[in-house]
Amino acid sequence: MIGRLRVGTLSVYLLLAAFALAFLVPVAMMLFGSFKPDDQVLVQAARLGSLLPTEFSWFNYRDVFARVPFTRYLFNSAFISACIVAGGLLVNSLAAYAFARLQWPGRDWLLLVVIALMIIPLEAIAVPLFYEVTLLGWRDTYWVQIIPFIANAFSIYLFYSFFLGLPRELEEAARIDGAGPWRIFFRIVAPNAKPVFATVAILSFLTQWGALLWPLMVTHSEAVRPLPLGIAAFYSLPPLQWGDIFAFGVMMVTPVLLIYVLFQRWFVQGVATTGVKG
Amino acid sequence: MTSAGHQTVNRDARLAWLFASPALLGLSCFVLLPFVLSVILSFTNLRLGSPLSMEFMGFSQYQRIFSDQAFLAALRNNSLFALIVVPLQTALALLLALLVNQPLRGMVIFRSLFFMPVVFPLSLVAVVWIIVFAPGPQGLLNQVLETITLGAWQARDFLHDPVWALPAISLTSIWQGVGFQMVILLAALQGIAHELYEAARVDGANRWQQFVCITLPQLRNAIIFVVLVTTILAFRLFDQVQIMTQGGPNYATTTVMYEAVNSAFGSQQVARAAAMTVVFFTIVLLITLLQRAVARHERVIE
Amino acid sequence: MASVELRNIGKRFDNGTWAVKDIALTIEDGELVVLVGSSGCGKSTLLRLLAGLENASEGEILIDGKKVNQQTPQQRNVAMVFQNYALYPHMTVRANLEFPLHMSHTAKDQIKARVGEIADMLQLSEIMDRRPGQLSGGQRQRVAMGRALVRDPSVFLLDEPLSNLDASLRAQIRAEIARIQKRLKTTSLYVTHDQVEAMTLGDRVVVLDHGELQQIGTPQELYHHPKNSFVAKFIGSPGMNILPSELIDRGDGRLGVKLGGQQMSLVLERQAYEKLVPYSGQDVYTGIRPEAFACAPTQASVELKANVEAVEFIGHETLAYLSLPGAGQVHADQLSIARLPGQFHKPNADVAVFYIKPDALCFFNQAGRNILIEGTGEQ
Repeated sequence: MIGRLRVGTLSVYLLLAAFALAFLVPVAMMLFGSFKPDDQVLVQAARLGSLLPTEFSWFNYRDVFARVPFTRYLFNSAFISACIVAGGLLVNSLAAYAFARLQWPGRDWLLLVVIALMIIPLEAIAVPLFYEVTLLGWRDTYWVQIIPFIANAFSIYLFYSFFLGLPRELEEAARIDGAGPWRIFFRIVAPNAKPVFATVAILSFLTQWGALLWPLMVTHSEAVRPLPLGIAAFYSLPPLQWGDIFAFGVMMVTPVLLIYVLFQRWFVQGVATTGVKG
Repeated sequence: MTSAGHQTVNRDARLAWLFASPALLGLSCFVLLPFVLSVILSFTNLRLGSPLSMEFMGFSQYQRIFSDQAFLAALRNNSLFALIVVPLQTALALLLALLVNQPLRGMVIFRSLFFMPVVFPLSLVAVVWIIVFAPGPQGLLNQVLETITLGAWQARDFLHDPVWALPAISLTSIWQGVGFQMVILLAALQGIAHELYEAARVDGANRWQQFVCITLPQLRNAIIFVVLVTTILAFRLFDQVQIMTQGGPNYATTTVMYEAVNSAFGSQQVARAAAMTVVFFTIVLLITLLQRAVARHERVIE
Repeated sequence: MASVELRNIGKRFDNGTWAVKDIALTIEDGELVVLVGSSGCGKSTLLRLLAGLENASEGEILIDGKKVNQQTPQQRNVAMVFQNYALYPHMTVRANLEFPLHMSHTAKDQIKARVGEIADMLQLSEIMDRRPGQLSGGQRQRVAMGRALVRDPSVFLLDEPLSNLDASLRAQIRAEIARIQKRLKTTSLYVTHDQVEAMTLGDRVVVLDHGELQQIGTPQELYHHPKNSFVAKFIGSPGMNILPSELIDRGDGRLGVKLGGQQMSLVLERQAYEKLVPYSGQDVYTGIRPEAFACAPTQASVELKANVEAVEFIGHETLAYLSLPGAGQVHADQLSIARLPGQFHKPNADVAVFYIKPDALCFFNQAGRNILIEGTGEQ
């Protein structure tokens, strides 16, 4: 029995290690490649040897900053994501609370409409939305990348499901204690809804940080473009220097990775709960 | 209802509109309205910059796109992509979830590792994997395959090969997305009551039987959900195509969204693009309805 | 302090059924009224109507003579202790107690003083900085009471406050609730399904069944003079035994009560006799409280033979499960129960003789109403 257990355990670890390797390889390549001086990278980038940290230099990183306004891209991504997340948390949670706890005419079928809207992905409305924002004169600004994404049907649904599950007594006790609806929401409901706020913030942030299609369509000046466009532009910018691209990539993904490592539990929990709702 | 009841509803209603109007306004303006516009546009011949005025054209846009080689290729590619990625990614996610669920040490590290690519923006993933797929014997994947097959492998230019381009993109997508599905399946796995397994062991079931008779049925809804989300994402494929292959070679990797964006911005044919997106939405809607029907069916059985 | 009046209160659900109907109830200033009934009888609904958490479909609610149907809970100055306490989990005990006072814009120093007062009264001073999650059930209960009392409300509402506590704590806290209410003289409405709580706490008790008022009265009235068989069965542990029987007029103030195969001979006072005689020859239900069974005859007691099916020795008394000879096959839940002091052994032949005092008997007609108090006016 013990022998069998050990074999079983060993094979599990082996399998996991094999997969882990497959997962790590592209990341390692990017990471180590970013530290190699440029001419080497072009030749070596695609070799197995590139997986080993044979050399180390900050050259590529400096080069990135010289060739493209990386800090600007970074700031843009951060600013846009922060606005969308913050605005979304406020606006979507309030709406979800109205659906979950208040009685008003038309509530039920409006809720159905909102849930139906969840299916519509950005791509299906990108083109008319493009002309809409053009009409509004929002092209090539921050706002065009923020405002359309604050209200989000999926976020509303996540909040709604959660609020439904909160015990009514807390709100009833607050009503009896004399609290009005705004106070009840901000001082009683929201503090007890931390998990769903975290989930929505994380999912929303993940989506927005990597957004490519929309910024591509509606912006053209570097002043407002976010990171994903930066790397796509970098790729098409001659000469093709892989070291720089890797450095760009490492810097682009580090903030997100840091947040991920710190708040890992919330990430995983958040993603898992979407599966439960499904 | 008494007047007391009415008063309360009025009070609530005013409040509810106050709470919900920003979100509802946003959704109507930026989701519902464009969608409706999309549908309307698809019945016209709008082309920006054209001297012709816009006319209502009935279904002719749809006829046109369904006889267009590029669009048909796109539909085919999306379907193929879904057929490759969905089973593979789901199976892999399930396997990884099962492995990580073992009560062994260090599993949290593996879980973090497998989830990590989800956090990477797709555009970055695409760029990195271009290197992995680099042509010639120095290409990373070529080298790995050569080593594994002990020299039998011939170096290929994956991204420019009509046969290998789509599988290459599939691999990239699987790498990036499997962690997400794994986490969902893992959570579902952990939700299965231990007692079920204990009862099965007492009844004499071996591990394979336990897997088939307990694990799989209990995971049914989670798997259906994972399949649904992956399928929808498969039809949304855009970022990787844009960066890695630009739809080529020879329409081997073009997708519905890629064609739509090109029509709208490349050739300014907005109505055509709208028709494509409406087709796309219809497909997604059908798949979603199908999933809900299957899931509901399961609940009834339970 | 305030009086409460419910006039013809009814609440209808969306699907058409009535949660409560035609409820008329007055609670005097300073009184503790207990609302009792089994699950689903509408007692919590009534409480919530009073609190303003639900709207009445018909009728009027008056607090201190003023109609409050239109008022929100915030406006009514009522306070409520919830079954699950509903303490704000993210706030400390102190913050929980201060919250209602913050909502009414009380001055800071007044808040401090008042919270201190309540904390002392309920012995919460030691736990002021803890969170509800760190408290025991009993402590949480006291905090819930504190939060309700801190505003000095007009009406104090309690929704089954003891049902989540261990049995050993219940008696203790029950006594404390009674003590506090007496001291503060707050008008209170207390909801429970436990008739022991009803009997021990209430100045008056209101019995509800399926949304309808069964009886309002003092515990003594309910115990000795139940208006109908529901109340008779509900009050008392175990409740009154209700037995199918037949009345036979023997003339001259004497009545025979046929129970199964035997007949009890009763000599009744004129009033009682006159009320019962119209029912002679008919089927009525005879009610005998478990406590009314005695093993030895006393003055004026009548004999009743019974089969002893089972006995349960509790310590200070024995419960005997009886069936009446000649009454045919009975299910386990149709057995009568007698409470006998000390230890009672099953007799050899399984048949025992008991002695019942006639004035301990109740008679109910086919509709379940107590014949002897029918038509004696309002409860």
